[in-house]
Amino acid sequence: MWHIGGRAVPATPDPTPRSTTLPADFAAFYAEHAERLLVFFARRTFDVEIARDLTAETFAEALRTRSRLRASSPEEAGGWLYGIARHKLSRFVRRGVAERRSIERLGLALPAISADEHARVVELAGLADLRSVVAAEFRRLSAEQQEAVQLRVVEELSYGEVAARLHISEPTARARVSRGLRQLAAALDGIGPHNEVTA
Amino acid sequence: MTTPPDHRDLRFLGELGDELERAERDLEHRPSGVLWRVRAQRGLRGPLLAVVLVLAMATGVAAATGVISTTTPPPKPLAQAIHDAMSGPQVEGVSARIRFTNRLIDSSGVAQGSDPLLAGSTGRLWATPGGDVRLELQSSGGGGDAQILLRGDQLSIYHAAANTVYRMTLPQHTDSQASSKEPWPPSLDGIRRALERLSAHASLSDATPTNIAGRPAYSLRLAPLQHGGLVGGAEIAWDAVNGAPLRAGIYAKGDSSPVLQLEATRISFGPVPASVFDLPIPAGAQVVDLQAKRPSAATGPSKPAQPVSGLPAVQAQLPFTVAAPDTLAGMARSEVRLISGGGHAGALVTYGQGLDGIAVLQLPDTSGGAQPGGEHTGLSLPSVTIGSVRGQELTTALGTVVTFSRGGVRYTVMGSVIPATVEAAARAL
Repeated sequence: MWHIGGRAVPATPDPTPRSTTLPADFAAFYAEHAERLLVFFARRTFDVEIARDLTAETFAEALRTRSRLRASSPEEAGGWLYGIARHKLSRFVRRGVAERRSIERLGLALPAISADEHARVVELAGLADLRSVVAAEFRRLSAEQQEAVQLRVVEELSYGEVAARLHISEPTARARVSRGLRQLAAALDGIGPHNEVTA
Repeated sequence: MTTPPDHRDLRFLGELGDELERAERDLEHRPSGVLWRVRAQRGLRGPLLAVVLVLAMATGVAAATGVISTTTPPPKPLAQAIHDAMSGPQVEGVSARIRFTNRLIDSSGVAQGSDPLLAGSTGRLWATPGGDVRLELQSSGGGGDAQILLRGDQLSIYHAAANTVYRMTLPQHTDSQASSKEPWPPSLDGIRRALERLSAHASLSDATPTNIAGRPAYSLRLAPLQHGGLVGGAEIAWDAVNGAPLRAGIYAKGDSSPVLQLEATRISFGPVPASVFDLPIPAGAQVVDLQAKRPSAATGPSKPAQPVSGLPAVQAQLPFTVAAPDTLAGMARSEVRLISGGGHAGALVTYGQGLDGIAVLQLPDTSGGAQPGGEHTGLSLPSVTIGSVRGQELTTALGTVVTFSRGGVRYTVMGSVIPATVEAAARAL
């Protein structure tokens, strides 16, 4: 037996589906991917609480829709999970809030994160180092992109407000933010931590 | 596949896994019948679901099919309900989410902070048929969790806010006690006789059918017939099928809400890994041994082989004068016993009967004048004047405790009585 967060999980079952349906043992599948997915989100949102929400929403959606999966290898199963994760992350970036649709459908209670756990996630995700990388990469964005990302991500304005502030159309504001974030994300992917999986 | 790493430092991920596991079970147990099909008809879902639910509830179909996990067991006589539960299948272990309620301390007079022991909390519980129990009370305010672990006869309490582990060895059952037990499970007649004996001291309710943590259960309320002090009663509830305790609480007189209660909010039965009972204690934690030190026979006042009672006999064993007036706060003295606490011999003097009596504990004061309680307990106790000295008073819904030091002796006066009674007793010593 091994533990994830103090919870015993059988170590023997292969967390990947052996057949075309996934996952026969969802607990083992969760145990295999939970921490890495949390780190994946933490590195992209810089917010441990949001990373927790997105991790929960991703697994909740995976659990709800697992009958739709057709996978025959660990890589395919992981890819399917990270496909959901990227979709959730994309919606978070667009809307500014972490979606909770599947969490609410399943009635999941989101656990609290203690100060020690918060610090541990920051450590695992290497957020301290990332901040300097992001700061450097941010300075490499065009002035227009910097301004758009600053208003949207830091000041948390809506796209309509960003557009009004910059005297541009809303689609243009979205495009500037999106391109800026993609450039930042590309830089982050290039320095992935030891335990991050990008699928 | 490589072995996944150990992630005990991210407990919230484990809790999220528990939530998903529960959701997975719910999904698996969702019926494929009418209610589930109605969900697929999005346009009609709301009205139809409401109609079907009303019909199902009216006819009892929902309960009968287990669609709604709020089923209650059939009414039974108390003895029968206890017997059936004790005769049920033995569980291999228990893992539960729990809610701990603590309204013992009046928050207006004491700074409780976020200490899960003092303020109540949610948490987890694991237990094995062998008697190993771990209770984890989770702090919601960042003050640190509390862990209570019972393994064999070893009791450990880890108080994260103080980063301190309290340990003690519980008394063992003697052979004579063990041999006097009835066969397990006890017979129905044996249970009836035990209930009759108990009813001489407390009023007992019927076995009330209920549902706790999704399990059909029975609950029993007890209320002391006399000498109950401020205690109004107690409640215990157990799983109707296997007898596992699901809720226990203590009530104050005149209060319909429990003062102390431990309740399962979700429970599952199955083997519990032994590693769960490895208490996660951080390095640097202070360890306090609460076991009374027993002086050796060759040195000084030793713990007597036989209980020492009676004022003259107890006084002869102690280096200080025992305060034991014949009456205290209108109650006659009932007993004087030699006790041991913190490695020192002392006296326990009791007045009155039962819980509404008063107990006076007297031990040598080794604190150097420091007041008990204080920062490490999370309590800020109000002070009270006892003659020429200052003491501290803890007032709870179930009783009062006053402590003070005088002449090298620390006095602790307590009882399940109102503060004025304990204060009057303390001042009369």
